[in-house]
Amino acid sequence: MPALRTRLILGTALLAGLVTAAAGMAGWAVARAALITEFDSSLAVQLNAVASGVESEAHGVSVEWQAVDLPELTRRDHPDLAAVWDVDGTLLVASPAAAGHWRRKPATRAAHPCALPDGATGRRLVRQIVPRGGSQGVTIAVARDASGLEHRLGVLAWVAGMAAVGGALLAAAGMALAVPRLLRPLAQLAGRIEAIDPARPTPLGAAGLVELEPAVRTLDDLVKRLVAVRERERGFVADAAHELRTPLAAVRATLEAATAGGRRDEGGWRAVVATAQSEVIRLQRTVEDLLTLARLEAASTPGTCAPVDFTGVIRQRWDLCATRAVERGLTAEVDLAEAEIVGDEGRLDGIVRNLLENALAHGAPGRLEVILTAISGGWRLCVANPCVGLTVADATRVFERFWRADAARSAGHAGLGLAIARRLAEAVGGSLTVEIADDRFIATLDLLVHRPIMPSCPASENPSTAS
Amino acid sequence: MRILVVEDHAVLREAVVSALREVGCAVDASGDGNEGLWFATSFSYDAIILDIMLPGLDGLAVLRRLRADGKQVPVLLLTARDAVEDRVVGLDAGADDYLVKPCAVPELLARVRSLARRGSFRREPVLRCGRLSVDTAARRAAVDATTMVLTVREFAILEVLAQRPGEVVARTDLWERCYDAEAEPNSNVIDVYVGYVRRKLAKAGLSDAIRTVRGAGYVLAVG
Repeated sequence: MPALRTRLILGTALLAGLVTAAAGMAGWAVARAALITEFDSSLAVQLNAVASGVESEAHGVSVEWQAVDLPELTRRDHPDLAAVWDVDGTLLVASPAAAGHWRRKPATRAAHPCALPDGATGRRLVRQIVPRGGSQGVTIAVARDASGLEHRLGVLAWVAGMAAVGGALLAAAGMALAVPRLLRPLAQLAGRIEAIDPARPTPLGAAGLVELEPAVRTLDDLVKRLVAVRERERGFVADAAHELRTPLAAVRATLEAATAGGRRDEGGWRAVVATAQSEVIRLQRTVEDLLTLARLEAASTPGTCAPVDFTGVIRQRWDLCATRAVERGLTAEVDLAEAEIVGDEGRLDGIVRNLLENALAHGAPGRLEVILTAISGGWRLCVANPCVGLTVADATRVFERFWRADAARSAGHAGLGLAIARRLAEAVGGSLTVEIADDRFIATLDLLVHRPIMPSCPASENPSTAS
Repeated sequence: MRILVVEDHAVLREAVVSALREVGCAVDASGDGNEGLWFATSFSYDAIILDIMLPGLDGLAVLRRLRADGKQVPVLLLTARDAVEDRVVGLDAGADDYLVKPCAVPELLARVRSLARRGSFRREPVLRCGRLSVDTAARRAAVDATTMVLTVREFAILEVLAQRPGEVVARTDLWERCYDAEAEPNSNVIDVYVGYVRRKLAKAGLSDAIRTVRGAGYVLAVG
C-alpha cells in the first residue's frame, strides 16, 4: 500500500526537480544565445576589418593585410582564420592558419559552427562584399576558435543540472520534515477513533483540519446511525424478553399457585390448565412471529416464483376470518378483482393473513373493507377498518416491532403482525403503507408487476394487469 | 399484610394475586399504570409489586411519582427486563427490590415479606411478645411450644397486633391491613375475628393477651 508520506516526498521532489531543471534550461538557452550573438558580432567585426583591407583596382582586386590592425590573424596560440576569394573562386589571400585549410570558395552563410585545422570547434562567417570603387564582389570568410564558448556553455549546463538536483533534494527534505506535521491531525483523529468505546460510541467532534471535516462528519453520522440501530435492537431485545417472559411467568405462577394452594375440585384444575394452555398458545404464536421476522430479516430463503391466484388467496383467508369479524362487530365489504400474480404464494398469503388479523384484533366495530383493485402497472389491496385512539403519527409506528396502541396491549398479540407484513411485502417486491385518517386505519399493499414480484422472477413473466 | 399488584398481563396478575391471597394477604390489583398510581396513593400498602411495561403510565413513572410524593412504601419491580442497565435504572428510580420474570412464586412471596418487614415497625421475621411467637414466614403462631391453629384472617389480625405490641391498634388500622379495597368496610367483622383469636390464644394457654381499649382499638399485652 503506497504511503502518503512517500508519495508526497517523491511528488514534491519530482516537481521541484522539473521546475528547477526547466528554469535552468531556459536560463542556459538565454545565456547561450547571448554568448553566441556576442561571439558572432566579434566575428562580424573581424570580417569588416578584413573587408576594409580589400580594395578594387583597375586590373582586379587587391587585398592589404594589415597584421598590425589584425593581430588575431597571426596570434600563436589560437589564431583566427580569414580568407578572401574573387568572383571566380580564386583564393586571393589567406591568413596563415587558413592557408592550406580553406581552398574552395564557400557559399555565403551566416555564422555557423565549423571545424578548425587543429581539430577544435570554431564558428565561421562567410559574406560577399563589393569593395569600394569596384563592380565585382569578393567572398570573405573568417573563423575563430569557439572552444572557450563551448566550455562556458558546458559549465552553465552543469550548474543548471546541479541546481535541479539540489532543488529536488531540498524539496524532498523539506517535505520529509513537513509530512509528519501535516499528518499529525490525521494521526490524532485515528487516535480518537480508536479511543471510541464500542459500547458507548460518542461523536468525534472537531476535525482538526478543514479537509478532514467531511470525513469526520460522515463518521459521526455513521456513529449516530449505529447508536440508533443499537438502541433499536436493545429495545427489540427488551420487548422480545417482555413478550416471551410475561406469558412464561404467567404459566409458571399459575401452575405454582395452583399446586401450592389448597384443595381444588376438577373444575378448578380445568380452569388452571385452560389458563396455562392459552398462555402457552400465546407464547407459541409470539415465538413463531419472532422466528418469521428473524428469517425475513436474514432474507436467507429466496422464496418461490410461480403464478398465484391472488384473489383466491385473499378469499380463502377471508373465509377463515369472516365469523370472527362478525363477532367483533365488523361489517365486511369485500370486493376483489381477479388477479393472477407471479410470486411466492406463502408470502402473499402471509401478508393477507397479517393484515386481516390486525384488522380483527385491533379494529373497532364498524365497516371493514377488503378491496383488491387493478392500478396502473399492478394491483392494490386495501384493508381498512375503524380504529380508536390512533393518531396520524402512529401510522409510521405501527410497523415497529412490538408496537401496540396501549389499549391493545392485552389483546393477546405481540405487535409483530404489521412488521412481518411489511417485511413480507418487501420480500415479494411490493410496498405496504398505513394511513390513519378520520378514525380509520387503512393499510395499502401495492404490488407492481412491471417490477418482478420476486427479485428472482423476471419481470416479463408477470402477466399483464388486464383482468 | 396488604399488597398492591400492578401488572398488565391478566393471567400473571391473577396468579400472583391468588398466590398472595392464599397466604392471607389483602391484595388490590390493577392492570394500568394510572390506576395503579391511584391505588398506591389512595391506600397504604405493606408492599407494591410493580411491572415496568404498563399501559397508561409505565412502572418507572409510577415509581418516580410515588417517591416524588414522599411515599415510602416498599416497591418490588417485577419485570421481563433483565439487563444490568434496566436493574440499575429501576433501583435508582426508587425500587427496593427487582425480580425478573419468570420467577418462582415462593421467592416472590418471600421477597414481599422481606419488603413488608422493612416498612413495618419490627424487622424480625419471628415476632415475639412474651410467650407468644408469630412466625411471619411460616405463617404460624405459637404460645410457648403450643402451635395455634389459625385461619388466614385470624393470623393476619394477630400479625398486625404483634408488630406493635403494647400499642393501641385502631380498628381501622386492622381493617386497612387485613382487607383489600373491594371488601365492604365493617368494623364489626374485626371485633368478631379478634374474638376468635382471643379464644384460640386462651385455648393455647394465654388468656387476656388482647385487651380492648374502648373507643380506640386493641392492644396486644406484652409479657
